[in-house]
Amino acid sequence: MISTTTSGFPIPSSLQDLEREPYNLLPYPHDFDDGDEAARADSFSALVDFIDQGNQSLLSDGITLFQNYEGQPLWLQNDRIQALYTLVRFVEHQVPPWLFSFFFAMCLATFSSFCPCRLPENSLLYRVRLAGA
Amino acid sequence: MINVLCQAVKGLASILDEEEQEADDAGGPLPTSHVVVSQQFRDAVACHLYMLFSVLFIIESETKIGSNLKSGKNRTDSQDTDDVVKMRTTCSEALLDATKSMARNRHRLWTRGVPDESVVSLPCRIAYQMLEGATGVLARKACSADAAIGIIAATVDAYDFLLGTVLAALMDMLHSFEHMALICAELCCAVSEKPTNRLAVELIREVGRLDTSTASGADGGKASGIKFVAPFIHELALRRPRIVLSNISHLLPHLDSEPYNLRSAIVTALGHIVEYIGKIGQNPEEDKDSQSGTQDSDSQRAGPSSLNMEKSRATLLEILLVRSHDSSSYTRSAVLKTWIGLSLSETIPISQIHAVTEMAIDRLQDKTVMVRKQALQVSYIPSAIRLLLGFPIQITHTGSFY
Repeated sequence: MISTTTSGFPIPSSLQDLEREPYNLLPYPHDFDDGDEAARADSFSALVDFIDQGNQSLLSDGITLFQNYEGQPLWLQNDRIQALYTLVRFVEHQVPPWLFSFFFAMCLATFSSFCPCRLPENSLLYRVRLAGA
Repeated sequence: MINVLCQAVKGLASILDEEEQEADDAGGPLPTSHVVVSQQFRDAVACHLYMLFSVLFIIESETKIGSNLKSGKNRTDSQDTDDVVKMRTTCSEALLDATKSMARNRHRLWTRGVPDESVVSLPCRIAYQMLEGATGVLARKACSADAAIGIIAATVDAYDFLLGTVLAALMDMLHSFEHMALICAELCCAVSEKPTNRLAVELIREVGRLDTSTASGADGGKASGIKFVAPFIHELALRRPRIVLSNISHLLPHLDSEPYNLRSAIVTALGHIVEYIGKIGQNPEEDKDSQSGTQDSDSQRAGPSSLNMEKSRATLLEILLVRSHDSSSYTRSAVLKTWIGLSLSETIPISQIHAVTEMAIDRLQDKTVMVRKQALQVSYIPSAIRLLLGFPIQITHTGSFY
């Protein structure tokens, strides 16, 4: 994680550099539940809430948050940087809408050519369709 | 999710502005030791700005790939596009707020006001990408081009050391994209003009330094990008004629260069300048360009400057008359269009009416239809003006062409 005693946050040359020295961020926080889609959505909501709480304290306390009193936690904690990075990564890893439409149309066309019947609920195509909706 | 990031950036910017406001309310600047914020605040600004930059970078990259591959457009696509536009608008507004706040409070953010170049150049880096897609009115709105222009203008105004980088990027884009001429001219109007509009002056100098020897050929400089650069000259002359007039010496040598686009753009720019001088001669209150606050305009508003302006106008009119014999029919046509514009705006001096009419009659014998068509309009309009002013003339056509 970032050492707050040094230069703080040097601007990296690319987003991927944040997973290397001196940042050493992770794609997802340690407590990120990635078990299923519902848990994943909940984890993202928790991250958003965490950042939002920080925003609220920023608006209410202002510049005093950054005055380093002894024993007071810093506003820009490693957890907050990690949460921000995970959210940005999530935006990056979202399948682009145009690509999704193209991919879905191709899957549907391929599947319907073999089996024009109803898609099975456990199939990948069914889940793709659900995610697309 | 993007909203929380944008709110954080706006929150950090508002804290800086509030502190500045408090200092103003207290009756003046605070001592430097009290003014500079802590390292933690700087880190927070850098971190959040970089995350916002990354989000916008991802959006721009995906949009570019999508626009290259997408052939058709359906309802789903337009809905997705709307979402991207909303995301981009939200992010660009937050980035613009942060850029302006950093520019206003650089002495509070960094010791002795020496900014971290890697941080302050981030907004510009993404603004260039946003402007690349602003090809039309709708695309311009979708790309948040106005916010991007505001970001670059705020950066240029605040950080002198970034002017060279911004110039290089703008010149590169001017060569690559046709729509950038108009955007760069608008950007020159958006930057501060006190003490002088450095961006506009430097861009004119850069255009003056262009190597036109590589642009020779039938394509009119298209391959080298000069075709796209040329419109910038007359777009800027239309908006800031006084600045172009002050730096016209950098551009006039290009009248002897090979690309006809460049020559056509320069003669059109000369027309805008002559029209501007004529209008402020008729009504000095219409001098909007000098009211914008350029230093040279203030110095030129005195009595002797009026004489200089008249001399400049006479010289420019002389150039326009000579250029009616340009080797390219496109440039000759541009010259005649310029004369038509000057006639319609009634800014041709009475002393020049005879010469213009003679030139127009001479051009009625041009080998190109396009030029003859323009010449017909020029020869008609000054005559009409003269008749209205009470100076009857007799136009005799002695050409052997017809």
